[in-house]
Amino acid sequence: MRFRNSYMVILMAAALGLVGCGEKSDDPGIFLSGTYALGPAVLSEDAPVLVALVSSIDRDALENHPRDVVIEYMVADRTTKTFRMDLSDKKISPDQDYYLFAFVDNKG
Amino acid sequence: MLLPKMLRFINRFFSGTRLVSVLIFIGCAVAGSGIFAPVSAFAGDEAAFVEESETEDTFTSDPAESDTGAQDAGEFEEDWEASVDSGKKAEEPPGSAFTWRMEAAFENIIQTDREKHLEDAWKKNEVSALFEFQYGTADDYLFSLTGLYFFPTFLNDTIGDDYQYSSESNTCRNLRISGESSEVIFRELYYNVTRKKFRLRAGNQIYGWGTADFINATSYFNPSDFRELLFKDEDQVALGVPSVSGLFFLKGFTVETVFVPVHTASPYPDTGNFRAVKEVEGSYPLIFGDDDPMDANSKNFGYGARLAATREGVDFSFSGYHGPDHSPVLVPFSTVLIENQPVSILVQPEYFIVDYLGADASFARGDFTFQAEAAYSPNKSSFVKQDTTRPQDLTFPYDTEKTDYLAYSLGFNYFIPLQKILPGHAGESLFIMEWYQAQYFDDAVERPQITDFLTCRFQDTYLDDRISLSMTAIFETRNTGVILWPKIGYDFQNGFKVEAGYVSIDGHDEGDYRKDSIFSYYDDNDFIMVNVRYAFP
Repeated sequence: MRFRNSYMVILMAAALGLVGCGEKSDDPGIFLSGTYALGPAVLSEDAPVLVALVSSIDRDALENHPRDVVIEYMVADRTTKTFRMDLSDKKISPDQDYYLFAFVDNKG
Repeated sequence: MLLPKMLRFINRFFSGTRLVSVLIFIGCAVAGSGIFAPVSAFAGDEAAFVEESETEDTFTSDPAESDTGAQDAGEFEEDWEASVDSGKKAEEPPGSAFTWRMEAAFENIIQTDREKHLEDAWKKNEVSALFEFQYGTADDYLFSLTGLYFFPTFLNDTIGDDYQYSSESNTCRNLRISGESSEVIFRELYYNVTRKKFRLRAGNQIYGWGTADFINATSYFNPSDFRELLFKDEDQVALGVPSVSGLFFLKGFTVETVFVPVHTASPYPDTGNFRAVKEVEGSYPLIFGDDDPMDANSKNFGYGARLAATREGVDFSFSGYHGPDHSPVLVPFSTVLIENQPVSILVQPEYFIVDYLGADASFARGDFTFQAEAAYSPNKSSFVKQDTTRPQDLTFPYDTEKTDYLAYSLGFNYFIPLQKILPGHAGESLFIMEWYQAQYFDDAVERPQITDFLTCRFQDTYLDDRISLSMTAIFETRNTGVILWPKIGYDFQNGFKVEAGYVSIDGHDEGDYRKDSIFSYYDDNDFIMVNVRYAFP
């Protein structure tokens, strides 16, 4: 079985030319990280801790239009009592207020 | 039980890099001179296929038999025929013949995201080999079509990090043996017995029922490999099922009966895979559950039959089926809480028993061939819709419900007489158009994800078939989405072929999955494919 190297070179050149990928992006993304402490009301140390970032704390909006105001809703790390939220694709705006709250799912 | 032990052993044996070593060994063995004889090497081999063709010709008054014959030959059908035509018709050899072919390929998928470094954009880098062999006489033979696939991670282990065959080593009932970076698929592996009035087969088989070119509503048996979505060679989408089939040649028509004793699940892209749906409505990250098959017991047997005939130039058939549905219901099953990850939804593929009645027809008029195909089910399952605007009210798992269901496709092939416009053009120009729609009759259940597809393809060859061109467009008309897939190939006519293609995916997306095109889930997945193939002999 013979394979002409020139074919491979042409092929790879064509592939690279078509792709035209840029350099590795310098954009590190947007992350929000922090720590938390559990109060005495927590029934179990093993219960999952959920962290939410919202754009409004209006009760009606949270109850009836949660998808409009909840930006991210994630599970914190119970071992280290930390969280790290990736907001890179969440269209976060610098001129907007955001609110962060956490709660323990005692049923979890 | 011996069989589960054997499967576990095979599973362990073929997992991880050990499979790569096996593949390399097999490759070396095949590349070595004359261990086995290729199909064109022996006149006896050709005779075997001449004999088979003649056996089939006995029934060529029946189009269904012709269809089945085409199915037998699989993707190498044309080459087999070429081999038969080019050789002289020899006497049937007194003994058994062993014939084989192979096709090796080096396939690459590169995402066209200019923000990404090449190593991140290079999503797939796969070496594959497809082996076809047949051993026996024209009437009694063992047939196998086996695919070996692996990622050459020993060359570069950073390419294709988010593409894997399976998240864990796994051996399926149809002998699809998968690991993270390698896979063996016994696409077809059966024993064939042909007599004057019937043909019996036992083993892993693919049933090419239906006349549609792209989506067959009456393809009841074979699971589909959705890990590459639609972007796989069409003849590699259907996976074989362990089954027993009988084709009976009756006066003026044929009847094919199929029995599938165990269900086989369709593979889907694993969570995190390049092809996996990441989230829906921009709010619900998805995690996909294991694609487990239904239990192996008599309740989950699959049975089907198809009657086919030709009348006044129209090929038609009627078919029926009872057994596990070949496509699962993707049920939103539960929330998933994984530390440092967004709260996600587990989507569990679930299979249900279903009944189908189907029919198909095709006929030629001038340069056109028209096709129609439909299947009706009185009890196909889907999940019941819920209001996703209030996540706090969602109840998991979603309920499922059986309802009436109809799927159909209409299409035509137009063999364009391009030589009339371009004198000297010798290639075959073909335009294919097909409309596919599927619908549940109960509005309370979620509609089928694959429906309202208008697929068009133009394909042509130039320069003595050296250059092949095709342009495929898939329009999702319900919620507006389109896939454009131009492809060009150059055949060196020495076994090597190079192909390059570009896939553009665009779908309407407004954050409501009932209004979002299914293509919108893959909006960021435009890619280039570059493939090198070598066929031998």
